[in-house]
Amino acid sequence: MHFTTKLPSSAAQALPLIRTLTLITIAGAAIASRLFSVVRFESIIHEFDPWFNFRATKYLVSHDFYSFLDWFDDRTWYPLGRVTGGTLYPGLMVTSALIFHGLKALTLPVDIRNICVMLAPVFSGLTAYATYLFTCEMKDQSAGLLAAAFIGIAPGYISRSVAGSYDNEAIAIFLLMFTFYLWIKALKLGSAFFGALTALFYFYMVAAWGGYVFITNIIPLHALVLVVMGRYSSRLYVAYSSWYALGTLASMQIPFVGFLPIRSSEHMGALGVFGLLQLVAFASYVRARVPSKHFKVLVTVSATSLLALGLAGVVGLTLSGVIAPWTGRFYSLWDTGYAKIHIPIIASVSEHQPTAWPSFFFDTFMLIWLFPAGVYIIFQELRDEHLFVIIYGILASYFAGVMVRLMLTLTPIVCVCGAVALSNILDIYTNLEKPLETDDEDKTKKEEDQSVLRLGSMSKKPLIGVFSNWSRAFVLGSFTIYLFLFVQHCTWVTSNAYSSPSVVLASQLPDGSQHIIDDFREAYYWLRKNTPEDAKIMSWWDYGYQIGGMADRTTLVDNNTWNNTHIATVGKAMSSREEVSYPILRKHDVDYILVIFGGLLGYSGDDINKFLWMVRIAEGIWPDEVRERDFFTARGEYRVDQEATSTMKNSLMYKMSYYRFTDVFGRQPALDRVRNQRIPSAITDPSVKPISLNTVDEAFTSENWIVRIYKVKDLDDFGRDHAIANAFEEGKRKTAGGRSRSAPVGGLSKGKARVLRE
Amino acid sequence: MAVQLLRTTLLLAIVCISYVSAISVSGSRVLVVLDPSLKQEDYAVFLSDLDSRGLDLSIKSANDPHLGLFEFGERTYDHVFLTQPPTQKALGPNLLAKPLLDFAKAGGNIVIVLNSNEHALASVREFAVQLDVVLPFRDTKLVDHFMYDEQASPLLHDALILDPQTLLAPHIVAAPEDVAAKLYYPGGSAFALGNNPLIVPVLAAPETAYIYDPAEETLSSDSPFATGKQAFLVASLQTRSNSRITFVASNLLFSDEAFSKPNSFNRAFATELTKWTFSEKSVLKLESVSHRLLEDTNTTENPSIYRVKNDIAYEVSLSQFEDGSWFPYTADDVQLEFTMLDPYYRLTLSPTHKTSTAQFYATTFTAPDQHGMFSFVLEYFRPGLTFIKDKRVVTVRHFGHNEFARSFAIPNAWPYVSSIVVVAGAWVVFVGLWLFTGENSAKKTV
Repeated sequence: MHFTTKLPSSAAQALPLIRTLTLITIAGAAIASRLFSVVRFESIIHEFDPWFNFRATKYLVSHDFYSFLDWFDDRTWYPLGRVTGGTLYPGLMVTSALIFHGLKALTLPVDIRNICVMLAPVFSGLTAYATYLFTCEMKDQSAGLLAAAFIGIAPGYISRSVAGSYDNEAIAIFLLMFTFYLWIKALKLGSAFFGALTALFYFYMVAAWGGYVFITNIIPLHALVLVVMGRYSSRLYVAYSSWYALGTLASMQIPFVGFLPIRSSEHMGALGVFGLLQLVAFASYVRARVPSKHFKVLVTVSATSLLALGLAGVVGLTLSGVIAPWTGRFYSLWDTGYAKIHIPIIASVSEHQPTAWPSFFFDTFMLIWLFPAGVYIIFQELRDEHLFVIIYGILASYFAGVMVRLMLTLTPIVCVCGAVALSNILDIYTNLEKPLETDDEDKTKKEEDQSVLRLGSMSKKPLIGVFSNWSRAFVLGSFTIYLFLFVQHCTWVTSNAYSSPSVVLASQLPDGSQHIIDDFREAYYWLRKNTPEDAKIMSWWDYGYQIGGMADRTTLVDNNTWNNTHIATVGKAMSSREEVSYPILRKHDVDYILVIFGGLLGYSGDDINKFLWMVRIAEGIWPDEVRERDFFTARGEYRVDQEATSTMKNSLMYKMSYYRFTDVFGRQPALDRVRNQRIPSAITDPSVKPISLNTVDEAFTSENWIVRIYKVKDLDDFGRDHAIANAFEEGKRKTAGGRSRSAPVGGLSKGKARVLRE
Repeated sequence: MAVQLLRTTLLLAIVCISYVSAISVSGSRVLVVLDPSLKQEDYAVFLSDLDSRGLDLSIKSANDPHLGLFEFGERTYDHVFLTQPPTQKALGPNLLAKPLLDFAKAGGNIVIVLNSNEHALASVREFAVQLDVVLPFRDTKLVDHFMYDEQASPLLHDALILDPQTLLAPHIVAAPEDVAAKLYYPGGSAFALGNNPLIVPVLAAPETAYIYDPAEETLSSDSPFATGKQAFLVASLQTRSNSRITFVASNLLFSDEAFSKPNSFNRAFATELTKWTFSEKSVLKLESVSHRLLEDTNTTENPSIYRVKNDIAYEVSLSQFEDGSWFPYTADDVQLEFTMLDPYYRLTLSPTHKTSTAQFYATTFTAPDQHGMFSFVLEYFRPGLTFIKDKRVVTVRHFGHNEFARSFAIPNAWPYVSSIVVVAGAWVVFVGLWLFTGENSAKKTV
């Protein structure tokens, strides 16, 4: 079945060199394909979370490690603050800081921003190497090289590791694969040394990403399956025990993890399997000394009683609160509707939504259909380590189906299995050896004609293989085309879908040239330059990290959603009438409010589209004061035009979004280009009252109106109600400025609106 | 060199003189808007009193074309004393409600004196409404059939004699020590007050008084505009930025005639009321605020960060402006709040030492066991006194990882510490035994 190709000795000597060169080339390709965003835009940190990581890294670089560990961040979650040093995974920041200091020691001073931007691409090269090692353990080096090439450019992984995507996942996937490789190695060799190395990298993984729980559960599951299948060995015992004991102790050193490994339900599986292995080891020791008849009775009695005892213990401890019950995030993995009902804050994040089917193909292309073939081939051999791949494949496919972001954990195993399948095909079809003389020539001929690969019964060892050059050429040729298409698809997806920094938007002008929409940075820099350094900015939590990172101002809530009530408070302030919101704003010392509005440009990720989540989250805390139903029309539609409900029209968010919006259009209908609805305009329809804001003043609106910033007014100097004071001021203004209605400002904005519409 | 020294001394002297001679903290330029129909001679005593206090009076008619409260965006006066001309005349564009409000916003003080015979002008009314002062209807009179002045109005009963002991705001006008003193109210109407919390009533009508429209046929009215203590003759308002505005219901209160009546308190009343309104008295100032760690006095003052359970010392000093100079202000009700959303502490500060100009107050407390951004909030809002508000945000951080007591310093932890030592020791012993005694048997089995 297995054809061994004998190479001349000089070629055999050259193989390691070729392999190394190939790996280096793969790493180079992996890095290069992640640089689209740097080439297109600039060396900039992307999206939301990376901005926090970047800010934390800057803090670590400018302070020492201990003050980073004890960092109390007074620029976020005003006025609660955040014990940032104890609530983050420091692995990413420490890695970049070490690189920074290392390069500095080599007299290569590199800006910390560039290190952060380039970290993910560099680590993707390492991931390719780790995947190579892992796949080598599964099959052979040719499969390893294929897997490395796949993971290097697979869009599912690139989506999280382009240059500038400075997030935990950037280094975590490398750690994941390398930890798995070490585990397989430890299991194969039964080596405590490799077990300890596994624990070491497990520790690094715990320090880097919350997804370490995946390792915490998949290795015990692997061990359990091995035990249940009767494949218990002392190698397993040594590997698992050394990993678990050292790894758990090490993971508890991360302040954010703390005592979770012995107190939370997510970690109980690993502990249980650890206990089970001790029992199994003890049982196998006893078996060697006790007659088998007695042993059977002993095992059944002790196993059942221990099982009952253990279960009762876990249930009892959970009920008494010593072991934390499953968290909501965990439940939402099993029941996709759970989060929407119970924890809207999790459901409101788009990357927590269930995955759409096409995205499997989009993110892995042809590997998604090679994946089952690879699993099948691995099933054929089914060594201990192969079980690991099967378990990993099944779990990851399930989780990837539940949550979009977990596509990331599926991608490596898809690459491994795809590589195994493809390398198997290549093994067979590139074997140029002619069949030797055998007893059963007829059968061989028959199969040769049909060009069928059959894995027949092994008893007679029939010679099977593909010996027709035509079929070889056909299969190899088609796979070459597939591989070309794969590379093309990956490049296309990377360049078009995953390389946008989302801080800067790009659009195409009619002549095909690129037009950069830089409203976010414009607004953040406005805040930075024009507001006092201790100004407090309220915005929806999505923009908290960016305000902290780019505007360097204190925020009320940010993307670290640790306090649901505080977020609900912001939601309530946004979704209530001004009279209700104002006391909340005062109580939290809010100086400025920032809203994102895409109605003028057609930017769909704006606050009005997120508004229902604000309402829902606020409703979760104040069901009597905020009701989602009030924001829908009688027919159950979510509208912003004249049919919008009065609750909607009077909410602070609506008013701040559409304040003076109709002025831009003059006598033309004011069209919201995101929702395709016409905003009632006082200019065209005299019966409409223009939106007036009493408690806030418009402070800044960016070029394309994407970011609007409002300043919260102080209490009235004369003790008046804001509405009365505003009415007085406006009444005066009307009589004073009545003649200059058609001021040049109006004409200018009209012209601008026309340009935008074209 | 000597010239320079001389110049410096001279400059210093000028500064000192101007400082000492400052009659009011906000300045001494007073605009007196006095209509020619109200004869200046009738108020000679009052005006000379103002002048003798060192105020710089410019008496102008309301329709003076050069009258303007602002020039190039700057206030041209520090105070406005506004009397109301007869009904037919308007106050002119510079004295509309909006410029007056802007003037107060810019730190100016205003006295509005209504005319005893005329109803309030539209612009004055609009200004009053913004402050929640409701001026009476046209041609109404305040009458009291029990406390009227028998000589001045034997028939209408609209000239009243009030007891100054009933004055409502001691920080604005304190009641005279002389119990026999009388406050003459020679006629006019009264106004009502809304719910504006910034308004401080100074003088209310007697309980038996009511507002009466002489045009009505009967002597009584079914629904009078205001009755008894609901009707006010003088009321003041201090804005949040500490500008002062006073409404007086009748110009006759300040007339020479009222001043010259027997046992009249009117002159002193007018002096005190204008002193208060022109920021010549009852002005407080926060001289200094400091907070620091209690234990070591060497630490920098006003640090921006504390730790939970730190002992914190807080100290402020307050001064009061009276008769042209600053004195220590002593009180026993100055409070500090240490807040994060809600107050965690509300402490009354105790007076400690004083300097020639300031009284110091201090307190100490232990930071709560809750991290976050806390504020030292000092809010001293007393009717008639300058509003003192000071808010300083500090960070209260959690314990650092190396700030907890070490395990061997906690007696309760000794069992655990000793068990660790025992296990580690036992392991070393076990390894030793394993290595040195198991050698032979291992060899044997192999």
